[in-house]
Amino acid sequence: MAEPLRHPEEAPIGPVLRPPLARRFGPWWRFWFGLSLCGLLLFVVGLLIPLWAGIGSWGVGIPHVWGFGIANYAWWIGIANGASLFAAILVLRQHNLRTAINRFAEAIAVAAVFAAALYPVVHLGRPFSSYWMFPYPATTGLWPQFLSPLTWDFWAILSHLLVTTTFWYVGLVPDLATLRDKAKNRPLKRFYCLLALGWRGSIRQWAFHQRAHRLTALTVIPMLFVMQSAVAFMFASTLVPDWHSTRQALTLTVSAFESGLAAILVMAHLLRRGLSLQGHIDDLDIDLLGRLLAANALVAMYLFAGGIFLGLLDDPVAQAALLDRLTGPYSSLFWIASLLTIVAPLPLLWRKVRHEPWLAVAVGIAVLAGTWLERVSLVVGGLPAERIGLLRANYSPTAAEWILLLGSAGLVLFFMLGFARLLPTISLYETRHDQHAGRAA
Amino acid sequence: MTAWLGAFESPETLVSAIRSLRADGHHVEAYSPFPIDEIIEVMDYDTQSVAKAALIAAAFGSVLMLAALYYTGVVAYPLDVGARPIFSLAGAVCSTIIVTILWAALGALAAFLKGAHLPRLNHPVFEFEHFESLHDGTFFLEVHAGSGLTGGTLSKLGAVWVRALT
Repeated sequence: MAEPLRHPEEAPIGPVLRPPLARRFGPWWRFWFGLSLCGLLLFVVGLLIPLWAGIGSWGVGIPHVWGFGIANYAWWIGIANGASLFAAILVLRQHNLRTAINRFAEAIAVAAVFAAALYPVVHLGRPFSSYWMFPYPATTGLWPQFLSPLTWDFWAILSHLLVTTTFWYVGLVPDLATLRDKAKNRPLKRFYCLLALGWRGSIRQWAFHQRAHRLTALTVIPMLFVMQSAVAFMFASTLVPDWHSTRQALTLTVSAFESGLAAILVMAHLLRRGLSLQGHIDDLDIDLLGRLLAANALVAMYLFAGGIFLGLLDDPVAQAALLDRLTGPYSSLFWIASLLTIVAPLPLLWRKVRHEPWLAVAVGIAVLAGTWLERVSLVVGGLPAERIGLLRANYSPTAAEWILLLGSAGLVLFFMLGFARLLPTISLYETRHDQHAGRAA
Repeated sequence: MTAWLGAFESPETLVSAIRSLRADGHHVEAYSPFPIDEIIEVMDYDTQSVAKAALIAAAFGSVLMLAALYYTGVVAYPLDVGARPIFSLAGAVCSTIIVTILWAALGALAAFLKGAHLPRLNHPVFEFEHFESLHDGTFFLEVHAGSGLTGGTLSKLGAVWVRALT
């Protein structure tokens, strides 16, 4: 029988502090940062093309009014939701895993919300008029139409961005104070000084901080369920049979959680190796993450089987829509997505796979690809033209859409590399707290 | 001189010093590199205001949002789309719940900043050059001078060194 895993006794916080305080960083970081800058450039190009040439530069049109833009938006939001929900649950349960995972899980969430936020704006066709969605007393006397799902998107993204950032920032304040006091570089010291708001670590501050951190974590939990249900609700507000499903909200929530977990797993392995954080993101943490992802895949499997079973018992229109998803022109997207989200994570049930970094990272990337295909399959495959009698049966993304997708991945990479360089990737104060609790025990 | 600042090497000594000084009626404030539940319990700060602020902000935000939806949709710019109702709770519920959560989070943040007296970039403890050792595991205790309290009192309670804060 294999040895039970344990957390290491006490890991020094030096490796966590090194990246933000180091004057120079490794060549690998510079290489990836350069690559992310190229990605960022692609993102700008991807934004400028529809701004310059109009939304016709995308492959969308009747009947496929929603294409890559909405699928990618739903995918990034899913990753953000999953990652922040996981972080919030760990804070509320005071689970040991929070020390290792929380900080960068929340960073993933913030980066993913940023990437998602611009899609609906560009999709408007006239992004420069997007401020019209905000209710302000205009001289024209016009007000936004709040019964339109477009305004739900506006409030959803704005709220998600602010709630996720608040949760992240409240947790960061004490660690920013540590960086403020440790930094030798004067401009950097000032930067941390402003962000730390004058944190002194007084017991009064800790008392309020702990309460506020738990409360903001509590607000993140309903946010995830509402966000994913709102996405499902937006689909349901159309007349497309395949999008009229009450179980859609649950399927999207589980899939979002899976994509968030997969992103955390990939990031955990990369940070652990790249920043030598084996003492903080230890074998037990990696093991638990792998098991959670495998467990999530089993839940996805149950929903998949339930969805098909109930769909076949449904009324003839819904049955035809389901059969179209399973055997129609976009069925390959559906089946590959199902394989990647349900079958690919199952090897993580074996300990050897969970502890082989490259295998675990490959599974994580497969799940991320699977959840992306799942969104594309839902948005594009849910609307084959045959059912509504139009000639244009096939949607295919144009180069402009691919550029924006790659660019948004570049944006997330840029954000995460900047985060790893400027902020502690592991919560310093929670590490100290747990070490103190361990000594006291 | 307005206060004494004592450095402690362990949280256990700090807790007993706080208990002793508070029992004698002194006003104390401790500084720690991480939250110590026992000290937070001893100091007994009323942090309910954070939860109350979140709740009040959430209630206010939801009413404000619903009122804004009603006003814009019914009073300011009624739009008849295929004889659909100009106001519908089902259509308003998504934005209202989401904005309610946003107000709750911002309410909690505001109450945290107010309760923790932040932002405040200047404070006498920052003038003390060794205060940065807080992050290396030193704990500090600040006691208001007066009522016969001297630096020696803190040393007797386990402080490894004591300084006067002005």
